[in-house]
Amino acid sequence: MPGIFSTYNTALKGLRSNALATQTASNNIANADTKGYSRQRLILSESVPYNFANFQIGTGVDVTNIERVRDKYLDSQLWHEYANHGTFVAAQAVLEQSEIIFAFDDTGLNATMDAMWNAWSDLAESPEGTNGRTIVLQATKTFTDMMNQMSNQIDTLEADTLNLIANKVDKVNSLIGDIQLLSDQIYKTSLKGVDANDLEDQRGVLLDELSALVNISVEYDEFSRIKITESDTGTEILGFNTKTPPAYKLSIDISTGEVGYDDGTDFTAVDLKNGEIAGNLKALSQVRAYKDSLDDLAFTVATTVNYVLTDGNTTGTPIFKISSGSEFTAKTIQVNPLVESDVSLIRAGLTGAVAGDGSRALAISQLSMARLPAAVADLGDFLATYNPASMSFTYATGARTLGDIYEDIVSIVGSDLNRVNTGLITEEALIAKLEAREESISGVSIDEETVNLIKFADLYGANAKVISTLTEMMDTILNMVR
Amino acid sequence: MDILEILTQQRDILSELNDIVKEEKQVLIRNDNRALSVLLEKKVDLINRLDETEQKRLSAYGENKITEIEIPQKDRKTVDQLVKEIKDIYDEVKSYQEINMLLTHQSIEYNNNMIYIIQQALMKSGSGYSEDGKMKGDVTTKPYIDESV
Repeated sequence: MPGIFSTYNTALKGLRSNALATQTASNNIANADTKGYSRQRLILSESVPYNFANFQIGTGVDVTNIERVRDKYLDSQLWHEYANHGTFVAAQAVLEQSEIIFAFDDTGLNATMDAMWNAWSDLAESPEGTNGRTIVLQATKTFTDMMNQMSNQIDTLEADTLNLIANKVDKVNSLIGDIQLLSDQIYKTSLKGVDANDLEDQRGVLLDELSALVNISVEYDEFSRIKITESDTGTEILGFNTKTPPAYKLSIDISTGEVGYDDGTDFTAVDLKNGEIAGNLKALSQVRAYKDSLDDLAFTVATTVNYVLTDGNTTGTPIFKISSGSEFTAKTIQVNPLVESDVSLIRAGLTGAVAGDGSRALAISQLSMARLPAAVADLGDFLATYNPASMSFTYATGARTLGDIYEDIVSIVGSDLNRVNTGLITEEALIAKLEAREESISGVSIDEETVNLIKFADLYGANAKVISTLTEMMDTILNMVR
Repeated sequence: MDILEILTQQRDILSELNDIVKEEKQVLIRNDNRALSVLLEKKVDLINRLDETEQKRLSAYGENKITEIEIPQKDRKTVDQLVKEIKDIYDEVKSYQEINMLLTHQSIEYNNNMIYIIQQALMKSGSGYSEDGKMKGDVTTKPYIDESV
């Protein structure tokens, strides 16, 4: 039976839901700038009406739930793109340092090599004095110092990158621990029939961080617990059960730089393809390849110069020190101490018997223009192009000069970095788009809320007036028919 | 236009209104403002139509009530039936109107609260220059929001 009490009850329910809605909206506004916060909304439904005469009487409004406005499909898209973005960001940081090491300008190894070849050329023109030999010695020493320095810089970069990867591996494990803890709290809250919106937001922020490190996919159960799978290898890194520790822990073998999973007894290396760890690993292997190329260059220069200077180590003193049992590398290459203490040991002529003979020095200077086989990995390749009797080089089609070899290394470093930069620009644009979409769904816009409220105020005011007018008119009609 | 015609029109308009107020209740609960503005237009149209019928009644019968109007015997039964229908619809519409009025007032109250909350959230304190040209701390700036709303 409709009466004054049922009307009050309807009003009371409305006021309660109104208060809750105010609280929810107030929370939304207060958290407009909170990272990871998702807008919440009140789900209202009509209370159960009761029948009176031939019609139903409503009993007001009930609050069914406070819902967290979130698009899970968009979340998974974003996590995937965060991983791609992480790959490029991590690689970029390492490759930018490589680009600094492999400079191609007035201060780069190219200029140092040119100065060395020029010194030999000058010696060929004035082979008698010690001055030209001292300049050759100094130019060669500058070259070896730079090789050593570059090698050390690459070693440091490699060690730093390995440490960075190790830190990120630790961070992945720590994030998984935190996520499991939050999932457990969400689970307990969910068992009481309440949505743990704020905890889910916190977990969302941690998932964002995790997705930048490794490529993840996430599944939800009915209690809002999650299962995280590392997508590149399909390894489950966190199960639904919030009490069981993960079966696999991400781990790194620092001696090899391999990343894999540790199940408590065994370590299995895996090939991660996306995420910051994968980006760092990829950049690490690229840096190692640059180092190998630099070592090849150091070997080629030292071996060929020494060969021409000593007729294949049969006579005279080599200018690059040969250590027994070890090859020349960028790290070990150095000027022969014997030559350092006595520059007259540097031979300029063929035999040293003819005055003004600078043919040997000239041959060495011509090494800069000699086209050597693509891979001067051993002396045999070099001997195929060099004629010791005439001290001249044959032209090998498709071969490269020593300068070209360094230029190639620089080009590879540059193109690797360029590829990463291009990928990063694309990823940033894509992420910006997805984040804008997410913001439009989950974000809070105070401007929009305000404009809407002012618009609604007018609308509700007009509605109240219309209701009053209609009621008055109806009363007039009823008065007439009484 | 005779009374039979006027009452029939009024019954039809009230019947339409009955459908609208039922829908309006759902719209208010859902807070669906777009739908509410559509209903508002419909209600304004109904008001105009009701007003027209009232004007016709007044010009034909003045302030006389139905019992004071002379009705041909053949129409009496139909008029009685129409009066009963109008009374029934009136009761139902009136009950919905009350609820809708409550819901509308709650929405107005909610809006006012929200505007107040936003206003508080937007109030920022900072420092600025005072009249003597020196820095003045804790100057409160108020956002430009029409407080009369």
